[in-house]
Amino acid sequence: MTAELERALQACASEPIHLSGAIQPHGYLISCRLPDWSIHHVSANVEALTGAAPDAMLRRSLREFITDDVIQTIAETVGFADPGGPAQRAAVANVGPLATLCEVSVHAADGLVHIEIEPQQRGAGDRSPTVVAQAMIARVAQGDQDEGFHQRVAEQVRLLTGYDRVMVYRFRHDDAGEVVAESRDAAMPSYLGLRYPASDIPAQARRLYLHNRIRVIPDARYVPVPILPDRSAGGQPLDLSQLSLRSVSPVHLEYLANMGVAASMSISIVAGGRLWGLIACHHRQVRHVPPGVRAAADLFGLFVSMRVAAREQQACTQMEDAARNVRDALALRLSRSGNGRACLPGELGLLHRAVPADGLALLQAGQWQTTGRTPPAACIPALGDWLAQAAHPGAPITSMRADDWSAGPGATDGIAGVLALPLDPARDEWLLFFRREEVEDVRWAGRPDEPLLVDADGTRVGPRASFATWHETVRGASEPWSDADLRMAVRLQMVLRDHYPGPGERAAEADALRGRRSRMEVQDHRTRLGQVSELLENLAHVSPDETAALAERISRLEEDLRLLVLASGSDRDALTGR
Amino acid sequence: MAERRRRGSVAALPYAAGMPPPSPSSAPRVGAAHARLRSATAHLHAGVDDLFANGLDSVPRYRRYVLGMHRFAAEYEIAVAAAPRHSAWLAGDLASLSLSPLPPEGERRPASGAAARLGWRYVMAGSSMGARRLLRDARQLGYDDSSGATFLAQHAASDEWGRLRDRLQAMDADDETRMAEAETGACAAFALVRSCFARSFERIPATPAHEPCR
Repeated sequence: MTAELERALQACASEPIHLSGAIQPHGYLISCRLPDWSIHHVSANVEALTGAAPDAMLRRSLREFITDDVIQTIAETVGFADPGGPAQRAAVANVGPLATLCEVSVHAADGLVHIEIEPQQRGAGDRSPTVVAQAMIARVAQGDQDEGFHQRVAEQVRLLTGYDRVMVYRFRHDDAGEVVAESRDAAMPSYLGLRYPASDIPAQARRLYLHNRIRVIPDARYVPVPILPDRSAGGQPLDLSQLSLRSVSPVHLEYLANMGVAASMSISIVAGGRLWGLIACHHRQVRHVPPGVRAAADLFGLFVSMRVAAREQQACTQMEDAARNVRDALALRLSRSGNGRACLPGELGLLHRAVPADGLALLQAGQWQTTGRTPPAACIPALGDWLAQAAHPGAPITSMRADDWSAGPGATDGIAGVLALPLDPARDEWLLFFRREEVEDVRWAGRPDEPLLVDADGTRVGPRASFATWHETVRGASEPWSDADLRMAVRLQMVLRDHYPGPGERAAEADALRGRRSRMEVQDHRTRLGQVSELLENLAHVSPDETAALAERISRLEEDLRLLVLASGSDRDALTGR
Repeated sequence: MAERRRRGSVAALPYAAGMPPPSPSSAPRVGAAHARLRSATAHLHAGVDDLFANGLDSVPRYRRYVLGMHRFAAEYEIAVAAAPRHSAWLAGDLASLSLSPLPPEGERRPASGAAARLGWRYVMAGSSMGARRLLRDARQLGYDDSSGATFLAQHAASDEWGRLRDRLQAMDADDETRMAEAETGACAAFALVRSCFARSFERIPATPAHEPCR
């Protein structure tokens, strides 16, 4: 990678895209302060709507330009919304001297009420977004729980919006994106399975998409309309994060143009507090998506997020439950044996199931004992050197690349990933989980090593011009070790340490370990509760009966927890003689 | 090099960026406060003028001018707490030229004190003088008062400079504190003009036909 390209990538990653100071021209912005509705910012095109120049509107009251009934509806909508939350549809109203029929959306941020007004497009339809979203949800919920879910999502969004191409785009562990489902016009080439470099959607854009869940560009060749003034009262650039009309990065517009895309929309899929992926829509011609359709798409996106989050959590819970059962069984056998160290070689089958891996090796007193797929014993010296270099006292050590700990995948019988648990580092005793190398034939959308085009002098930066499929065979790496894998490994390590006392390890240390383990278990439960509460956030449309049943179960849980707290309190009292 | 500088300071300066010439031979007699401001900002002023040494003689140069002036006007209006009139005209010109505005960067607070604001106004009002010449250039390029050159047309027709000159006449040039504030304001404004044009030049690269290597 050239220094210019590196600088360009850095510049793209640090561009404050929420401070563009402008909106897209298919609507108008009026930003007011309550309680007097004094106008503090307007888009430069506002005169076309209100008949009054920006200069004549600023510092005046909105009441001079918009009728009281519309202002009342805006006030009610803002009253219900969370400050800093996304824009909400407030009204369909006639605005201005020409009584232009407009959709009015509103949100509050930084002490301002931002009112976005979009003239209604012909044939916008008046179906209730909730009803539309419910029908879509019913259709994707049919059929197998997992098989084809994303495909049905893509098809439903295409039916709703009419875009030429709708993709479900998933972020991988390395933040590159991958098209996992696609519904498209037959004349469009397929992007299914294509991968996009992480820099295509830089980190600040991914952060923004966590909170601003839906973004539409009806005409990617638009000329942005400046906001007057484009700074807040405090002198900072106006934060446009939640504006539906926010003008996007010029680099992104060029990216769309290079792809032959004239209009786009994307809906965030959020699971476990992170951006799991996007529903990305492209069209070859200018395409307006009325706010009502956007609202339906947003609700549908919330449902998809909830389903993805629930599915991920379920898979994680199942895996962790299975690993817990394995640990319990192991603890029982080790305690029965009375000598954990001697007993371990007989329990390799069980140990292998404690962390998802293709193989397991136990290194004890120079002995290499294995189950499943493992590298040959000839790798031990190099592996030992790597462990000695990487060692953090007592903590698991991981790598997903064979190059790190061997002469390469050729020398390891196709093993690439290793997760090493120290049993007794002083005696060089380790438990090692292995994962095989994943040889992947990756199809990139354009060359991944040249995501941006940069002039020789580095001043002009643009996205790549070609999105022609670029084949790459990725070798030498395994599936990465996830946070969940590491959690399971640490739990296993604690069980083993209980029954695997090193020389000189005393009862006090064992007690400390047990205390740490129980704290970690409580922490586990907290994490799970947190995940459950995230699911609740997305439950916008459930029946009162279901809400009541949920409330009752939460009350029972609260009561159980309260009793536990009381019980532990009285235990302490008994111990301290109070 | 020396030859080019001399040519620039004599022939091109009245053109440049629409700012008032530092040493106009035909200007009415200047007051003492005005003279001090002019002297204090001469070097910055010349630097800005050099950016448009041949006026607005090409479409790319005109686009650079409008893009940079829009950013400057938006900042100026914050600095002097003025309604966004100039930036609104320039926003219309940006739309006519299909140009994306330069986004705001960093923080901008109102200039502290009436004298500092007067210094800022000296720069913006001064540019209305040169705007008459620049408007002729813009018209030559095919832009007019209602499309593409609204700012220059409005700015050139305004009496901003006359009013500003009156205020400068009324200012006590021996009030060192106030004069220093005014000079600071004017220098800050010129420096900002310069940096806004640096951004607009970077956004709109020179085409070889219009920007021969020197």
